[in-house]
Amino acid sequence: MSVASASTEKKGRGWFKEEFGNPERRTAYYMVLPSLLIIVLVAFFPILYGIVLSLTDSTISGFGSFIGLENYTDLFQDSDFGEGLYNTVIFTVVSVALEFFIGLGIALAINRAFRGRGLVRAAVLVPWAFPTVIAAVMWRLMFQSQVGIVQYVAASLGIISEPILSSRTLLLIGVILVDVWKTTPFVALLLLAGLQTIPGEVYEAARVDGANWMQRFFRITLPLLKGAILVAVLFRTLDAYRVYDLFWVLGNRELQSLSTYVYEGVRISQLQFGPGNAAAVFIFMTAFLIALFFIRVLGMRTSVEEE
Amino acid sequence: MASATTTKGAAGRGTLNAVLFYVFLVTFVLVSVFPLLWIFKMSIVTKTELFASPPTILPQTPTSESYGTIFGDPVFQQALVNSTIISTVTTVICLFFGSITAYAIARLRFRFKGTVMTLILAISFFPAVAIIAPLFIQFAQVGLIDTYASVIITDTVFALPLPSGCLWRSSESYPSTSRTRPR
Repeated sequence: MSVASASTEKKGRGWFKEEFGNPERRTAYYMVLPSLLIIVLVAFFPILYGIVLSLTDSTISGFGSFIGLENYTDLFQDSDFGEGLYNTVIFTVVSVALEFFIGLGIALAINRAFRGRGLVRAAVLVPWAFPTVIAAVMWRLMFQSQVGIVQYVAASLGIISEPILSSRTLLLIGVILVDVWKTTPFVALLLLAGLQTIPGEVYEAARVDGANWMQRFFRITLPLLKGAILVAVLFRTLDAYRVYDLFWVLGNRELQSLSTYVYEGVRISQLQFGPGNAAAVFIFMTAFLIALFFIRVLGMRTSVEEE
Repeated sequence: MASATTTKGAAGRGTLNAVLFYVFLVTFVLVSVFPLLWIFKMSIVTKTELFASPPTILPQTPTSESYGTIFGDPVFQQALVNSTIISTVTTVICLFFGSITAYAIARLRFRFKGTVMTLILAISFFPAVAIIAPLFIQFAQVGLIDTYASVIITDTVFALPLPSGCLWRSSESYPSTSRTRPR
């Protein structure tokens, strides 16, 4: 891993001179500096600031005094937060699992030469290229009880007995299905890219040795696809975990997720500014832990290793 | 691997497989595209047809009335202008900074390359909602609330990993997956 590789080099003052004395290296630092600067100022500094804010009784317009962990105890006693956490976890686990299995199936199916391949690829990217807010509005219309085609079909088939939009359970299922509709193609394409790096000779050799398709799948495809799978699943997990627009728009502000809880707390009802900030820090920390789990425990590579 | 299995076996089985394969493909494409076609249909029908039950499959009397309404609406016009300005400026800034960063990472040698890449990639996993309140206060302090600049700056940060990542990968001379292959 990249972080580890930097620390294994020899330590000392010498590196500073070596890095900045060398013109090529100095140029490299000048070139990455603008990106780093804006990332630090607009993403990492606010996180630290947010942690500080979460430990005070600040409001959006004024800095308050230190109150310790009071915001966090308020947060964990708030049933809205509990609901948001529950919905977000269910949403993340179910949607990522569905997207992964369906996506893998699609990737395996279209990993061959066939007529109309370009067309299929273009078609599957349509939902993904759509802005999430627009997709949410669009599906809300289709779930709606007067003009909604989904509501109409599902009610005619007897699958549902009540309006989708007035039941929180149905709404959560709807949100998950919309996410699956929207993101499975993306997962499929990521996995397809991974599949295409597996050389055909490996399968030839396995077949000569008499391996059946199950052995080929579990002994060759899955192990060689591990990198692509981890990237796709981590990316999707963290993306699903921070879900905001689907819940906010499709749920018409009634279905709570962690992100909508934060937004509601700090922007809509500014009375909840403290707990809202605590929830923001909570999301960041847990997202960080999820990423760490993938990288350390599952052995994902974050970047291309140094030469 | 699937193509190889169809080469052997009886010709009848091959045809069946091909049929099943195309049925699967067509289903998949329809599921992907149908909702968009449906919404397009909803946008060109009249109000009475929109609320008809059972719903009509094809538009009976197509009309462009809804489109006339939105393009005549000053709120929509302003939104269109805002989106155009913000997306254009963000794209230009992102491509500029993203490409010089990507060049340095792909072609030059320096000590903290791994750290820089990890930081940039970390942004694509970053829960943006976690920083809205501090960022709002920061922008308020420098008087950037309700300006294009605040949206463009924030957008740029979260859009940076994509161009940087794509560009440094495409300009690399070695495949990143080489080490996962058996030797």
